[in-house]
Amino acid sequence: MVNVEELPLEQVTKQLNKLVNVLKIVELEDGQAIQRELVLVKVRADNETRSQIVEIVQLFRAKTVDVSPEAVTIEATGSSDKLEAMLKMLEPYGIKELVQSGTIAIGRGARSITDRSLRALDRSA
Amino acid sequence: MKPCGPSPARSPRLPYGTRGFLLHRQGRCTAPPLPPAPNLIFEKRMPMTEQASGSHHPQPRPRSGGPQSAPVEHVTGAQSLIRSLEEVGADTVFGIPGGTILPAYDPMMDSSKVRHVLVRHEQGAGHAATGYAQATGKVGVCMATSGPGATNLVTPIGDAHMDSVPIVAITGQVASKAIGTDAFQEADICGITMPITKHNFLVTKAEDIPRTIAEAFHIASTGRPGPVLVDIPKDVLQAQTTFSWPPQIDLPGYRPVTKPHAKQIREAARLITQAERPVLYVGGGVIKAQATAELKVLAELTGAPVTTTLMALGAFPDSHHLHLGMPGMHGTVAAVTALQKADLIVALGARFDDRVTGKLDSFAPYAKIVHADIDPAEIGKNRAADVPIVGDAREVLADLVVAVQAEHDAGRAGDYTGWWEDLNRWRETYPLGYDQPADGSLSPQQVIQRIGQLAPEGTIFAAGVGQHQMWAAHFIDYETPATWLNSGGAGTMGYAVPAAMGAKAGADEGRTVWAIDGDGCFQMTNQELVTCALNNIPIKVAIINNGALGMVRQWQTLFYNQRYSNTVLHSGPDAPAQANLGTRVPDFVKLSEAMGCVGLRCEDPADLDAVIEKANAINDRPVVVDFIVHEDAMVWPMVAAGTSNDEILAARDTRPDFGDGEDD
Repeated sequence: MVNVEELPLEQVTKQLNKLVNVLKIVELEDGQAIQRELVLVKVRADNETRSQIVEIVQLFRAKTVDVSPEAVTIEATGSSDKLEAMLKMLEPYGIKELVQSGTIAIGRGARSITDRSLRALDRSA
Repeated sequence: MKPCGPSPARSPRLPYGTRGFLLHRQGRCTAPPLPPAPNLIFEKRMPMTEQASGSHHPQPRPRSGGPQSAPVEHVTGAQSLIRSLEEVGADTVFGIPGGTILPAYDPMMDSSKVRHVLVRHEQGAGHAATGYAQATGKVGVCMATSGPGATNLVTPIGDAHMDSVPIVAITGQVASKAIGTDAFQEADICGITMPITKHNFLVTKAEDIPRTIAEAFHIASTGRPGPVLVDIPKDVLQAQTTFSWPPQIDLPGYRPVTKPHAKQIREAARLITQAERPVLYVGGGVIKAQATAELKVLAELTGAPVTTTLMALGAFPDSHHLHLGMPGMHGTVAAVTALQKADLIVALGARFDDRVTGKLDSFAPYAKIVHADIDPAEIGKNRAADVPIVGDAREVLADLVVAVQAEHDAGRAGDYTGWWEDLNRWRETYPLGYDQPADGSLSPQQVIQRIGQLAPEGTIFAAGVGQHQMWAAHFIDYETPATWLNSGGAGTMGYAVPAAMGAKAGADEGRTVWAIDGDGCFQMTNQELVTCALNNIPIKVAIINNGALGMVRQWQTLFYNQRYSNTVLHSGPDAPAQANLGTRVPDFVKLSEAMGCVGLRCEDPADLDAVIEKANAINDRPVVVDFIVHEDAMVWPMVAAGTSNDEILAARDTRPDFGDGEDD
């Protein structure tokens, strides 16, 4: 993911296209693409707070993947906005550890960016 | 992707690189027999525990009957590498063996098609490959061992990357299992060279060697040419494998666009005929695309002025009446001003480098831009293009000629009469020139000018970097392409001697190659004169010896109050300064003689022609001429770094007077 003006973005695209191992560059804009991040977060939890944390997890359609007497570990995917909101809710309980991925994205609709590239691969095989 | 075998059905109008590649495939069998290699050379950089690889059984080498017949040979990875180099037509390899590349040198000894030139430093091998490529239009090849051998290639690879020169660097790597362990002479050369190669490969299986070599040569020579590195671990070179040719190239992500868009061409032609003050701004891409004939046709058809960049000298005859000279920081007043005042700039294989544009926001403020380049990333990178054209310069120029002719046929031709009045006035008022030193010492400009005038026809010139490079650009006339080799983008001091060596090794028999070098540059890479002397590569070297790092000294004169910090080469803290005697330690004449060359010296203008003639007459050995020149000579015109091209100074404290002021 890059966060730049239009002109540098064009240069980023062109430079990436020059890489021999890159098959295709497509700009996936907010509206026309589904973007997701993954976060694994370990939150301090005791008998008093655990149910509140689980409620937050359900609100954000996240998952509790590990639990111990002092902490729960939560797996959540979503847009960066959603994950940020969830982490903000979890913060007061005490975030012990956090691992977060970058953004991955795929375009909406039936069209696929790999169709043509796959055909090229077939031809060369 | 198609396999890369030669196909008679291919059009001769393929981009430069493809043609070069096909040319390669035909091979040249002019390599002289290799002298028996003394065993000593194999010991360089070889670890104490190293054993002979045991791959001493050269396989029979049936002559390939063409791409259709692909007999399978059982070989080692090393033999596969050498066979692949033979098949792609690499007739000359510059390199030095060492521990990990050692297996490749065994079959190399038996190859009758590949001539290996044993250089004295890997940097020399890299620049020699570049000089070879720039002089011949073919892919240059250099070879080195892992670790320090490979890292010594980094400078020439970076240099070739900046100047888009097609070279393939082959490096040994430590055995696959040792990679990542800080093994002896290990370096992650693929990682190191990632940003300065067009592409690089780490070969992990011996069976991949032929395909990788074919792909490396294909990538280096097609599209925008550039350096490609192939890193091969020692165990891969030693492994048993099979060899057949041609291999199947598999590069689905590599599709250079060579055919320009017809609509953009028509739009460009329309702008050219509508413009009142057009300039053809020609870059090195025109030479690389072998498009100089097409350029001449377009220039003469339109009557538009031409300016050729440092990388494009020779793309358009210097003597041609439409030629304004070189643009940029040390460009002619006419060329720099033409770009500043132009209403249309047609950039062909040029990249609006900062040395050409000066301060970018004030560059060519009135000009619309037609920008044609084979690399889409160059278009709009520095200056927005009104008409972007992605394509091979030769196809672009050929199509432009047709489109402009169509405009003319429709009664729409450009009228540049008023423009030429301005251009001619600037050209006549501010020609390139120099003063003779008052003390009777040699003027460096005159030395270079006379070398150019007395050189046999077709002489190739290679320059180092600095004042002498700019003077060689100014005062030697370049009439044909690939007669001027220099390090333009990277500005690599020490380029001249090894590049001249590579050019001489690749050029036709009897072609003269002059290196124009400085006393600073010469001390960086002169060891390759030993290579030249021992391998029958009789180049000529002119040392423009002003006893200083002249270009830096010029900036100290102009911008640092004549405080000459660390630019003095003729004396040290404990040695007395001897102004205007040049660098005498080392004694370049004795040094050259020690390296097996003829050493000459010239200090008096009266001897100048005689010494040059004497150097020109020696063709059986390298010749080095130490020209002791005045240390205060400066390069003019000049646009100071970071300022607008409008601030060009024709000579010190002399701003051109453009008189009319109609465009200001």
